[in-house]
Parts: sequence; C-alpha cells; structure tokens
Amino acid sequence: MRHTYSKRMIKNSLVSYSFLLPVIIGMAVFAMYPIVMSFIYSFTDYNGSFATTAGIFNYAEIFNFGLSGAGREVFNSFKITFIYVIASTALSMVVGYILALFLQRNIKGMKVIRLLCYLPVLIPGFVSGFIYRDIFAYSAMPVGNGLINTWLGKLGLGKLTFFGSAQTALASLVMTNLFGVGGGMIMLLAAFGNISPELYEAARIDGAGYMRRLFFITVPLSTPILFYNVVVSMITGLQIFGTMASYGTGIEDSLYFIGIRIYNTAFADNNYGLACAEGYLLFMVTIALSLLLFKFSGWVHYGED
Amino acid sequence: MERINIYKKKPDVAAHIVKYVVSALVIVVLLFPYAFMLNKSLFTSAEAASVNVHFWPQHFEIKNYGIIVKYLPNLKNTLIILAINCFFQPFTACFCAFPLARHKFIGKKFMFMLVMSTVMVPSIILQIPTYIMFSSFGLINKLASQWIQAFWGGGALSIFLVIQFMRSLPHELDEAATIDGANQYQIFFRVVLPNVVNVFLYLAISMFIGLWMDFQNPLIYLRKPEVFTLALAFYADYSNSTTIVNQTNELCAMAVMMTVPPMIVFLLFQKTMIGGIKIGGVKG
Repeated sequence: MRHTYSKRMIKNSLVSYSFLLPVIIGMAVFAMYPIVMSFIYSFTDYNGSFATTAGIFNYAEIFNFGLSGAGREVFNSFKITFIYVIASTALSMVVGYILALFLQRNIKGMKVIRLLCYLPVLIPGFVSGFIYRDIFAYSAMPVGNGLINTWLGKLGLGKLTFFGSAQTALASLVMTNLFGVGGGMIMLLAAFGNISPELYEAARIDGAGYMRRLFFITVPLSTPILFYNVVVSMITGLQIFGTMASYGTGIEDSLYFIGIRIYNTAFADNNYGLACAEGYLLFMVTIALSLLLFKFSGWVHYGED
Repeated sequence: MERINIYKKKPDVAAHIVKYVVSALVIVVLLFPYAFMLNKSLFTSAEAASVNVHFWPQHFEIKNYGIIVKYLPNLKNTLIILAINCFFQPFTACFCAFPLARHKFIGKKFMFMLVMSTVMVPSIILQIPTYIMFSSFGLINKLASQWIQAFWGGGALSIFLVIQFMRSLPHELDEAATIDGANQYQIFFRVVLPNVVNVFLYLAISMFIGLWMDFQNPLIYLRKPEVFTLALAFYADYSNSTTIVNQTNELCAMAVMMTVPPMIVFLLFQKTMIGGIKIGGVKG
C-alpha cells in the first residue's frame, strides 16, 4: 500500500516527534546499544572480558535436551516462571481490586486505613525476605521453626511447610506477594477517582443497584488501569529475580526462575554468551506474550472510543 | 439530597460496623510482617538470636534505634539522586507520552510498540554493556551514574501509565485550546500537564519510594563508601551474614526507620494521588 501524506500531516508529525525526542535518545543509548551488544555476545563465548569463538553454539545448547545440554533446566525454569506469572498476576489483581473497591468508601479514618494497607510495600526488599523467613520458617525438628509453625505447634496442629518443601514453595511466594497488594491498590483508587461522579448519580437515579453500577460503570471505566496492571505484572513477573536475595533458587530449585538462571549463568559460571542467548529467548517470549495481550485487549475501554 | 440521607441513616450503622471489622481484619493480616519487624526492633540482641521464636518483645530495647546515626552521612547522596530523578523522570514521561496519547502522527503505532518493547528486554541483557559504557564515560563511583538516565522518558512503563491517563482526558480540552490559537507545546504545558498532576505525583512518589530503598543499581556502580546511598550502606553492612544472625534487632530498627520518610510522603500526598485526575477543565 502506498501512502501519500499531506504537508500538514508531515508538519504535525514533526511536532509529535519533537516531544518524543528524549525517549528516542534514551532508547538509542540505554536500550538499543546494549541490546545490540548483548545480541553479538550471544553468538560468542564472551566471559565478561574477552571472546575467542563465534557461532550459534549457545542457542544449540539451550535447545539440547540431552543429558549434557542445558535444555531441560532452562525449560524447567521457564515452566516455574510461567506458573508464577499466571498465579501471582491473577491473585494480586483480584485481591487488589476487591481491596481497592472496599477502600474507595469514605468512612472515618479511611486515610489511615489506606496508609496501613500501603505500609508493607515500604519495607525494604531484602529486609522483608528476612522477616518472611522468621515468620514462615519450617523445620521438621521442634527448633528452627518460624512464628506461624511455632504457634501451630502450641495449638497442637500440624506444621505447614511453606518455603521448606518444593511442593509449597512457589505457592508460599505467591502468597507473600499479597502483602504488597497495597501498591497496585493505590493506582486503582486513582483510576476510580477519575470516573465522573455524574455517571454514578445518573445510574442511581435510573435505579441501578451497587452491583449494576460496579459492573456497568466502575469495572469498564477502570479497564485501562487493569490492563496496565496485567501487562506490568506479566512483564516484571517474567523477569522475577529479587527473590534470589532471600530464597536463593528455592528448595530443590523450586524457585529457580529464568531470571535467576540467566544471572547465575552470567555471573556464577562466567558464561556471558550463553546468558545472553537465554536472555534473548526470554525477550522473545515476553514480546510474543505482550503482543498477544495487546491483540486481545478489546475489553479495554478508553474514553476516546 | 436530604431525602436520600434520611433513607440511608438506618442501614449505615450496620454497614459501618461491617466496614470497620473488615478493615481491621485486612489490616491485621497485611501488617503482620510489619508489626513483627517493629516488635523485633525492640528485642535485645540475645532475644533476637535465641531459638525461642516469639512475637511480642520481652524487653523494650529502644537503644537499637541509635543505629540511624551511623547512616546519616549517606543521606546526602540519596537526596541528590532523589531530587533529580523524582522531578525529571515523571516530567519527561509526561512529555513523551503526550503525542502517543493525543496526537495522530506518522509511525505512531510503531513508536508506541518500540517504546513498549524496551520494557520487555530482560535487565540482564542491558546490564553488562551498560556497565562497560558507563565505565568508559568515567561514571563509576560517581553519583551521576544514578541520575544520568532520568532525562529520557522515565522508562516505558511510566510513559505507558501516563498514556493511559491522558487518553481518558476529554478531547474538548485540546480542541478548545487549538481554537484559541495555542500550539502543541502550549497545549501540553497549559492544558494537558496540569490535568495529569496526579499521575505525575504518583510517578514521583513511586520513584521516591523505589529509589529510597534501592540498593541493587547503586551496588553495581558505587563501590566507595563515601558515595554509598543510604540503602546501599545499610545493605552493605547487613549482607554480611554473621552480622545478620547477631543483630537482626538493629537490622529491624533501621528497616523501620527507612520506612518513615516514604510513609510521610505518602501521607502528605495521599489525597492528590488518589483524589482522581482533575477533569474539571471542560466544565469550568
């Protein structure tokens, strides 16, 4: 298809691009250049200081599912990461939305209640790891248990394994993420505040009850922020790495996310070439999933449409 | 108006009780780790190291909080980084989001996807080349390594968030300004930017909270103790595992103190952040 643009369109576009100048420069220097360099490294045996050979051997290694290849481990990490992304996105969205709906009400002391809900988000990351460990520690012995298991023991109940078993470690991580649910909630509250009160007033006059107002006004008009939360949660979830400071790779590698594997390949094994190849695979997967999300974003309602 | 109030009075009492009970339950659960951290900050060292795990402190060791004096010299570094990032990142994010949210221009879809694609790049891919680039610019051990990236749009996620809010603004706003003869820059500064103040503040505050606590990025570029940020100095002292085992009480005291500044910022700006984007422009 051949396009001819009017002079006015071209002039307007130049104005638009002048606004985009900072991000264009920033992307070129801080994203494109490193991306290209990493791409080159992924075809070499670069170890952080020099490379000796070049070829597609890093990619061959990832897709080698034999005993000597990295294939099985890499794809197991992807599997764990996918489960984590789906579970934590779904759970934190649902809980966050319900909490925000609830905290939207104006009752006395709501300001303080909101602050208290937000407080857990403010605990420094590496500190919260230590605290969760103190709270959820599991040991088969009478000593070495955390707060919860000590209390369960006193009540004569069975102990919960939490991070102490490969079966429950991932679920425990998703659960502890909920302590940070106040972060997304704030954004939802801002989005709710954006909805014109006249809409609610009109609906109330028409006799719409709370549920009808919720599903015909609040939910549709907060879909742009819901969509934003889904996209962000998916992208950041795929790159999850911060858990390494507190849990390492988890018991029996149950928390060996792909981000941690890439980090270890690069900095523990000094195999930066292979790490870049793994990173590129993660990159491609992220792009594919994001395109899917945008393709199926018909449910998002923008004011302009 | 009055009629509605009369009808509402009765169920209000029961509804209020339910609201407060639910709030209390949610808060008890959500605050459990924070409360434990607070309690532990008052443990004695012997208590913190003991195998007898308990929730309430048996002594109130206030002197644990003396630990903050040790970190005051690092505060200046953190404040410099915060000041630059908390203004320029949200500002450039709004600037770059403007055409993507409200203009029609050649290659718009492509630019949007290009900007968004940068978020999808795993940070590990960027890390080593960026490190090599920064060291060739002489930015290692310079605070500049922590703010040089503040002027370039504030990251794709910030831009995306601003776009989502700008798109919800009524188009009458720009149309009216265009009829009045305003150019696009005037429309941005006088019409659109004032209407996204809440997103701006949201970004600035998230940036404040994130950078206030971040030690991972400073850890890569700042190696000399005199350029350490507060969070990095704190992390550097406690990443040593023997210190952690012996002094979790002081660790918790410092962690509690670290949550205070973001808490104050949050309290001060809560209303502006949550109060909703001002769409009053059309009416008045």
